[in-house]
Amino acid sequence: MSVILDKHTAVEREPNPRRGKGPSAFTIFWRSVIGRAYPRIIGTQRELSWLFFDIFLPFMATMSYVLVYEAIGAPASYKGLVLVGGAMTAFWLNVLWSMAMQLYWDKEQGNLQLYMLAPTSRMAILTGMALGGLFATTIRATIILIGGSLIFGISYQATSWFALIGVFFLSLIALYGMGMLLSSIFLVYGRGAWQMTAALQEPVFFVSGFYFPVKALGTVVATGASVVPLTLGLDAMRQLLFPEMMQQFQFLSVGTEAAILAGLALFFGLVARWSLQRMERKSRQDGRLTERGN
Amino acid sequence: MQRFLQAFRVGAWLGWKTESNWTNPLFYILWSLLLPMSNGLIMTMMLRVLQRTGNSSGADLLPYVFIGTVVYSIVALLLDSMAWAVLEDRERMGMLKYIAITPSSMYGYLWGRGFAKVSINFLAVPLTLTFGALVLDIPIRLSTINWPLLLVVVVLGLLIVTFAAQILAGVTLMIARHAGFVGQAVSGALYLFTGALFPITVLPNWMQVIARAVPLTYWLEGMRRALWVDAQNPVYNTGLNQLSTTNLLLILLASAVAMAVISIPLQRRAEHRAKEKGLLDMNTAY
Repeated sequence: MSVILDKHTAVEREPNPRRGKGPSAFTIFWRSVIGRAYPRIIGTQRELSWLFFDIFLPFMATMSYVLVYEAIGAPASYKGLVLVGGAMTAFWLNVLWSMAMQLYWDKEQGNLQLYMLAPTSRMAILTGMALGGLFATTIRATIILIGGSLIFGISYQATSWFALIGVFFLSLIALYGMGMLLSSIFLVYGRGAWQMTAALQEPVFFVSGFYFPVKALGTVVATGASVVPLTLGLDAMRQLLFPEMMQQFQFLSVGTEAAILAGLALFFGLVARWSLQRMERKSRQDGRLTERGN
Repeated sequence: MQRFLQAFRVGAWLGWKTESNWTNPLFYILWSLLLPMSNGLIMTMMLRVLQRTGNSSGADLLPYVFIGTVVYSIVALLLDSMAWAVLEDRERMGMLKYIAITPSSMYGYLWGRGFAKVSINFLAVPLTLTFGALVLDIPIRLSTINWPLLLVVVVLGLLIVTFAAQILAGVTLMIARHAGFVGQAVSGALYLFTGALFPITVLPNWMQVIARAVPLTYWLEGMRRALWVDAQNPVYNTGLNQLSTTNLLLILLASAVAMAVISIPLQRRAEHRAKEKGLLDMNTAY
């Protein structure tokens, strides 16, 4: 067996069998995740006007909806229900415009071809986008929630903070998995992707019950809307935060909703991976990866 | 005037092409219905949920909220349209500089772009209101609509919003980056201050002062009075019940004139400044 002399310690040691082969696939994957998440976390803080508008716009819209309940003298828990939904809109908007649409933006700006040339997995890039977006959006949603609660004097009777945090993260993992899937689908779209994204924004606010309990739409619509993870996530979070009021508006039990969310998270993750491979191949075949302005 | 009309026609034609040629016209009309329809349905469900708990105030306020939210969707679209057209033509298509170097009127061109966006989506408002009347039992009846008032209010309101959108487009011309937010930020803020969703009397006093200074508050009130026979009922405590319809129209007319007086020189100044500073072909890349 050959030995080499370590240049720092001058001690003989066995050669590294991986030496000269570069970093492992796992290392590359996580480096890519961190590299793609970095601009999402740091970039927005460097451009403070974006941070202002990202908080200000959903905050104003949420305040308007809360004031509707204020106008008709609804109990504080109803305002809280709207506020929680309003805070969660930040995640839906982030998934739509910064996940689903991202590969389209990247194509328009010429970044997509760089991703394709890089020796890394496209799933790593999407995971990085998701983690970065999730972190930055969580901060914004928290500010909206705290600000709104203070302004309108809303108090919460959380039955289990542990369950609440668990449901929150399960919802977000499933939601960002859905964002990855949409992102892969929009890879092959032209300008239609933009319009389709816009078309998904407001109707989902309605069918997912962002501003009212989804059960009010009836079992059939609520079941259909459950494909958007925030439908069940919001219902579960509201049950945990406003147990008394939600007794008459509960769609499914918190446990059932958490189990479905876990299933959705797994499903979207796997389907997104499969879809990304297929759509990438199709885009290469159709010559759409470098297409701009169409 | 001829230059303005020519540029308007070209802007409207280009606006129509860029807005709608990604799909067929029927699908586009359905697509344009989604925003006002979803907003109207959200408000309906919010108020009906409360009604189930025995609070009937929500049901009483539904026509007020429904008309406000559906009509406001056109405000949000128009306010955003011209500012976005500047950004898109400057940064994405790189063609704003070509408009600037021709003898055509940029003012007319941007009006054309805004007109295209609004005219395509304008159909969505009456369709959604009809849906509300037929399905959600919103008390809007063809026989009770005050048509002359509706016509005057629509024309004055659209003029006010268009001049306001022109001001935002002028501001966008001079802003280096992130101008895409301007239209959304203003329409988002006005959503709170115009009484689109709730009577302005709900707001704290200092916010009511702002709300009464915004012309769109009066436009939405005028639209409600034209469409809904019970709009002036004091029970809704809108804060504008005492205002006569004649005075309301005078306020709208004065607002339209004031917005024109502000927006026309501001646009000229913005164009001049953008040329001076070399902003017409700026590309900020993100």
